[in-house]
Amino acid sequence: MGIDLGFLFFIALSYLGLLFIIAWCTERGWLPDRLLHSPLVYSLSLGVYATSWTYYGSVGLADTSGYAFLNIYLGLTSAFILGPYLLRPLLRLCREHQLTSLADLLAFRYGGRATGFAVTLFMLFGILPYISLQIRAVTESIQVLSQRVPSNMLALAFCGVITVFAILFGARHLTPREKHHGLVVAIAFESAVKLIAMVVAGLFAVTQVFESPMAMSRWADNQPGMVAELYAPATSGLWPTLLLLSFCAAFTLPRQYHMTFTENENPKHLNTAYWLFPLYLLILNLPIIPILFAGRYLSLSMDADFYVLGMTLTLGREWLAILVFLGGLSAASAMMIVTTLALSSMCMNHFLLPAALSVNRPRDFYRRLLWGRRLVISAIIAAGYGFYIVIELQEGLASLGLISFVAAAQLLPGIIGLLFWARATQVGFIAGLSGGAFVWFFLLIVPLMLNSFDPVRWLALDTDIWTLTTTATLSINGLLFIVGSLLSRPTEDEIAASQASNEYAELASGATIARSVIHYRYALRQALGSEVARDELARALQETGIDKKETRRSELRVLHERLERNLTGLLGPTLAREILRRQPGSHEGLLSNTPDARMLERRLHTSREQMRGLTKQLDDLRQYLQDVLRQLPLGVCSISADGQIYIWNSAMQTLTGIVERDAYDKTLEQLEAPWGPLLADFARSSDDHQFRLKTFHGGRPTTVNLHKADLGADVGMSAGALPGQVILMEDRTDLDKLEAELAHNERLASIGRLAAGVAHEIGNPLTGIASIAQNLPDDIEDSEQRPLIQEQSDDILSQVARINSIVKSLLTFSHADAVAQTPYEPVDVSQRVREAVRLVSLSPDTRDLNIEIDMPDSVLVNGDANLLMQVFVNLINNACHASPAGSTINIRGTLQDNMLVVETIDQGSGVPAEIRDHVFEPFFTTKPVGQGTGLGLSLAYSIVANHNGRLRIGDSEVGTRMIVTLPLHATDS
Amino acid sequence: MNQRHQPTDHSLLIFLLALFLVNSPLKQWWSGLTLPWYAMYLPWLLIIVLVAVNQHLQKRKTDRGN
Repeated sequence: MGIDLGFLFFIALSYLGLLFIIAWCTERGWLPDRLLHSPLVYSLSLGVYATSWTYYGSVGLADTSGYAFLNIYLGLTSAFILGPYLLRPLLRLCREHQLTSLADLLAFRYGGRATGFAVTLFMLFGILPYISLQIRAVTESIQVLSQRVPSNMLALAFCGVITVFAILFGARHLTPREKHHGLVVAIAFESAVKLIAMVVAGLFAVTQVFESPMAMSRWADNQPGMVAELYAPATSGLWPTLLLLSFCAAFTLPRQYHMTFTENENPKHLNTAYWLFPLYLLILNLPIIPILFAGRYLSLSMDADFYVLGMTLTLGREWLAILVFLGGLSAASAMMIVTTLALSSMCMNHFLLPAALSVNRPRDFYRRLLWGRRLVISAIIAAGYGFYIVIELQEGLASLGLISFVAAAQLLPGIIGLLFWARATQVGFIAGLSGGAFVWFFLLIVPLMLNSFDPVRWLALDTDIWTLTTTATLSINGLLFIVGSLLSRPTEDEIAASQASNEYAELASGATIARSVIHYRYALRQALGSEVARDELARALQETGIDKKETRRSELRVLHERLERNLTGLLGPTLAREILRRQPGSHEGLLSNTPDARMLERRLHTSREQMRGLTKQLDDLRQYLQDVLRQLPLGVCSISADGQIYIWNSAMQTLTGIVERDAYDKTLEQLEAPWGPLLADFARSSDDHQFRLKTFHGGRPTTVNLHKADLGADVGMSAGALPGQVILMEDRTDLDKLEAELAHNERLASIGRLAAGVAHEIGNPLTGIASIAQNLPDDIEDSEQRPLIQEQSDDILSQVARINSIVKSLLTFSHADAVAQTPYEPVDVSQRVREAVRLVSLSPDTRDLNIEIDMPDSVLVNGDANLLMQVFVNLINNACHASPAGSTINIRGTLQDNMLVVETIDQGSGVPAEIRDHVFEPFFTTKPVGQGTGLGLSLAYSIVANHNGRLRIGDSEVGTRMIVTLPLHATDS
Repeated sequence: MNQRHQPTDHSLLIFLLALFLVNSPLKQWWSGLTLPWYAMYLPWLLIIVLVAVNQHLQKRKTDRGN
């Protein structure tokens, strides 16, 4: 008794609805990120490999070919074991160059439209039977369950739902920059459903059909030769054939490529998939033999492909039958959705877009592209349905699947050439693919159409059809590939792509790049319209951080590469290359003949994670040396042989104010003045060193020393770039200033020593003069003349007293440093200030002034009390002389961060800015000649400096503000 | 051997072991034995475990290297 057809239809529709909900929730971000971005989901999504053929057909294949069926999974496991050699490089290429499909990948390597066209066409032919197989598996499973022949409308409805799903969740974004998370999660969910259904069916077979695992083993052992028959095909030719086919399928089946590479969001997930995905396949296949045994045990009168359904129905477990049916539905729908997406991308990039863009410049390009892709998806599924309706296939599920596997395997020589053979060419690839495709069609498709034709019997060979076709197709394909490649020369694009395909190869050097950003805009606008040109250029400029006015070759090359990658994701590699070559004057485009050092650094940076051992140590050393150069406190600039700047370190940036980005790849002449002309002249000159070059930069005079050295040819890179020069620039501005100060101080010290000597020499005669002048009136006998002489004597004594005062000042100044050597003791500065005020107040000049003191009590500093008082006497004295009558002088003391700050503020005319730098110099005075020695402030400055303090002129709106800062005594602080 | 292959050396060895077990003259021998039905899955499981251990070791080495 079967299950109601309508009920099955309802269940199928509900299940597909659930898939919609899961994908929709994922796209909305309602699922936890941890689950969404986990390697488990990625590994499960690879389960798209297990189609209805695996699900139902494995039992059928095990029935006829024993354990040979396992090779369909063991071969794939082998490909994943070799993942670091095979899958990782392909993933890197796919991500770096945004290659969304197999056709893109091969067209990227074997340049030109023909490659993409041939691969797409062949894949369409090869995979369409596989799509129709999925439809057939679903309808046949319904037929088994309902025991009625379902109408084609049911298959049509199934195709309709799959089309809507693929469009809604697989064609949401145009470029691989954005992943289809909803699709990936839905496919992973379907894989989980397949696994659960198959495991439950297996457990059912073991426990319900046989009652226990032991009972099943006993039954199997009692069947003469049954288990031995399972192992017998190991020695047949089919065994290695299936291994090879499934090994190739890991990266040549469009759906596997799509899920493994295009939808991979994190390369690290692949590491987990290396073991988790084979484990998934193992668990999925574990129930196959128990189900086969159960089918035989129950003597089911149906095709072994559907034993799993028949077994559940025979024992009346409808719930299990429905679960198994849902597993099969998952297998079929997942395969159809992902394969269709992969094929639609190929068809768009290699059929429709080249044709559409050669006709006219499209308007509203993005929208048309998206809708074009959606139409192609519908067309492919419709074609699969048409194939299902028109072709009445008598073959088993496994046979139809294997036809597609042999077709996909024809890409193997191309992939091997891509990864390992730089000499491979488009001619060789096309020749090999054509030869393999022809043999495939003759040996596998013709017999489908002409049932009477059996190639094995026709050729009188003692082998199976799969071994024959696999051997024949791959031999002819491989032979033509090698011969064709050897007889033709790789084009420049092929050489560049071959270098890009190997991450350890030398950098490609032959890209033709435009002269400016505007040329790219023009090229894009010509091909894709102004909207796309604007958007794509803006995106590439933003991603690379390049300015739209950029004209440097290296920067334009980076922009070129970025544009090519972005456009490859949108249009495929062939069109992307062609469009970017359409810049006006492309014949005059700059041909980059040497590998770009910046590109090389970027490449090294991206490859760092893969580096190990000596390579990593060398790269660490490279980075260390680069850091040394960057952080060297000396300007370093290296220029290549063609005069372009390569190194511009941080000291150079600080010195010149020109950042590395602006200097890189320019010639010295292109740098802004004064540095451009200065460095360019030096680079051209025959001198290796130039000293004390004066220039004016940043509003101040700057002095630099320049040194240069020629870099020998042995420094050049392997591909021939870079000798040139290295220029060192040493900033002498501060050093010169310091030297000038030292010379000035030395001069002042000499003056001090001279003054001390002069004072000493003057002192003795002065005493004599004073004595003589004092005695002069007494020596005059004439009493009439005595008053006059007394007056003259007083004048002489007054002038002598003045000279004496100057001499004392000179002596005090010259001995200030020596006095400072005496040990210091705590001094109460407040007390010294008050005493200084009292002393100054004795002078008649201070009678009309008001001196206000605001000092904290008992503030101790380490020092000499007399010297400190001298400081304050000088400062207050100066303030008194500068202050107008009736004004106030403020003396204010504050404590700041363990320092005592004493300010003396008068209300005089202040110190003009132009003489501020000189007021502390000895003999500098603004007083009229004869009224000041110019030593007071200089002396105060020296004394404060010797007390580890500082004397300076502060800003003040009125008058002068002298600030003394002294460190507090330790206990006070 | 090139240093870049060092972390994947084990992968190559595991691949060769898998090939030896599944598709070498050895299969002439084991296909003639009286094996239980599940015996075919055991070498497969062993290979998967070796791959997992290899990946775990590589990850640890990479983490330590960083």
